[in-house]
Amino acid sequence: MTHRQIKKVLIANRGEIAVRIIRTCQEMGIRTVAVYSDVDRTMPHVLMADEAYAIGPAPSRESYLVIDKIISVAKQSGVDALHPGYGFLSERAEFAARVAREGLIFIGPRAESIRTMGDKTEARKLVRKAGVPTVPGTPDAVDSEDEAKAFCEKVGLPVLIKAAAGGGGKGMRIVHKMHDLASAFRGAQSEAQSAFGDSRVYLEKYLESPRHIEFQILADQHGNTIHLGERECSIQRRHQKLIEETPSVIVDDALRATMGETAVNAAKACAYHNAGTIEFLVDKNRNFYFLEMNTRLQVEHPITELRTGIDIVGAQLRIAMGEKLPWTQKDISFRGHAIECRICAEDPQNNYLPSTGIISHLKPAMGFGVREDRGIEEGGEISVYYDPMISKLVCYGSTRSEAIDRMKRALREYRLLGVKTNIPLHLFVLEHPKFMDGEFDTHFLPNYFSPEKLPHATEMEMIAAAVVCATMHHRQQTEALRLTSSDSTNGVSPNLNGQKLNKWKAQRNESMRS
Amino acid sequence: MSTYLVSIGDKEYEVSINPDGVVTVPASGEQIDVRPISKDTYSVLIGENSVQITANNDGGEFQILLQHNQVDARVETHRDSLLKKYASSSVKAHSRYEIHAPMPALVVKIEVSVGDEVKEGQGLLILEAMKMENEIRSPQAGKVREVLAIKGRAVEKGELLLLLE
Repeated sequence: MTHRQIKKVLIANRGEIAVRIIRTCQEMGIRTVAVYSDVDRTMPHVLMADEAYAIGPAPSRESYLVIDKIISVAKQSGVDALHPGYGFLSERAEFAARVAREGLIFIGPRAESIRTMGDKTEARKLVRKAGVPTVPGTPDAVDSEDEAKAFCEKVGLPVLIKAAAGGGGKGMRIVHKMHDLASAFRGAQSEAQSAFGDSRVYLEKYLESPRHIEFQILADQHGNTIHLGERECSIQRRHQKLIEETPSVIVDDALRATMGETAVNAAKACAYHNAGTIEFLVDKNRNFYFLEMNTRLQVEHPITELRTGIDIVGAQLRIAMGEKLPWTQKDISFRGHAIECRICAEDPQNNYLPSTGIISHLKPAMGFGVREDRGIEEGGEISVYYDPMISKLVCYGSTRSEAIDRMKRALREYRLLGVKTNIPLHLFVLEHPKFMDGEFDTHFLPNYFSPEKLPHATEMEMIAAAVVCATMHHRQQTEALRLTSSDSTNGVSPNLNGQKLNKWKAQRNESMRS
Repeated sequence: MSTYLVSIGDKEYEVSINPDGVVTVPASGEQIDVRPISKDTYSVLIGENSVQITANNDGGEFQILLQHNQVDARVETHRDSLLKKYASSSVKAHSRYEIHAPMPALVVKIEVSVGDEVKEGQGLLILEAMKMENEIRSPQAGKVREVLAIKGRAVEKGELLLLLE
């Protein structure tokens, strides 16, 4: 493998992950190129990059997902490499292949690894050969209801029907009773067809109260593969992660070594290079099973960075340049505890309904041990076009309880107005005794959360809020009155703006004196 | 002296502001000191207790940050509220029976049809926005009078989806 220097990178993404990647590039002296849709012209990733190129309308299928547009910007701007971030084109094998064909570096694995790991039945077969345990399931896609029934009788219910081409919970059905099997089977097939254009489904034993634990992998192009420990991702809503932490309370040194080695073997099975994540389900008895591999940078990578001190994006860039990993497994040491809360524009009071609007006020949390990865500023708009995640708030502590206390403080310090956020939900989870004791699985939220459990404002806060609303209203009315009375007979005053400002200033000074 | 009625959720507070800017709230016996910090943020001292309040003013309709949650509030002058009380006694507000789209979205599924009896909290239709499906539930028990949403069509924020009676 020859060494190829990267001097300029195109980030084929937006939001917080584009900002995250640009930061490391800047630290490494690498020039950056951003792409933006019509609604993203003034977003932070555009402001921070050295160059920025428009790639079309707001809907991502007309901009961020159009391979030809991204490639044409790459050529026009003369970059050496492309970083796909997560989501969008990051797990499209044809994109990685196209980048390579154009003579550019794809900062990620080979197209072939993406393709193999993207096909869920293929991936299971491959890792099983490498001795990686998988959830008991059918080795191939199942075509007939009879075959499905035979499998259910063999392993016992409940059983999960999953799309072979899929992910993200689409085309997934849980079967608890045999007489539901036929309709669930047909339903999963048709959903898989419409979501992925591929109706193949396979069956798996359904684990009743699993934890979702994943391992971060780094692999260079010289055959060296290491892991950076686990991330506990069991706190989810609607199959999407909400809070992640490392280490997991149920993973001790021995289990970490075993699972880590297994994860490394799974990555090696597809001759993987660059950063990747092996997801496992872990049952009550701490048996673990391969779930899938994410062949890209993961949203929750910062918690691993805090605990290992390794810049994962930096490692991705160096691996892509053909460098050898500077560490062996022995060199990786873990320190303290890290937690991430995904702050999303959604309403936990109302079934996690997405909330859109302009962020009119944003004062982030700061102080010791707090990191925030965010791709939007005050004045920015949360629109329907993209993911509702506003920010990733990440806290580090020397112990788990210190990290939790710090996160609670940071969430309380964080002030955002303009859209509803899930900050109250995060506080609910962090304060829950089951969470504090580490006794939880992927069903934590459905089992313990209901909207009436969210905290209510105190009488003191209510009175303060009433006073402020009345004061703001009073000022606006007084202002309107003064403007009308000072407005001369012939209508609009020429320096209305100046006047308005001065009046406001005067009024403010007045209230300062009072 | 100006007197305002502020409604936050199901609670109502009377707030008086005299010409010197002194604020009084009958619900609280404490001395109140309110100072602007920026265009949308105020520091309030109630006695010695310090509370920071951030609020958006949209013509008398407010959004406030309370316990990290965005809450709606409304301010009326004493006179406004009296007028409204007289008016509302004759015209029953029908808006409660209208189901509007809370965001721009795609109508994925309609779960009820005209004439169906629905319970409070029952799912009416499913909207997809930001890659996620969201169930719109009935705010109260009633009967479906009209379904205006069409499956597979996009709707704007605030668009009328369904009428209940």
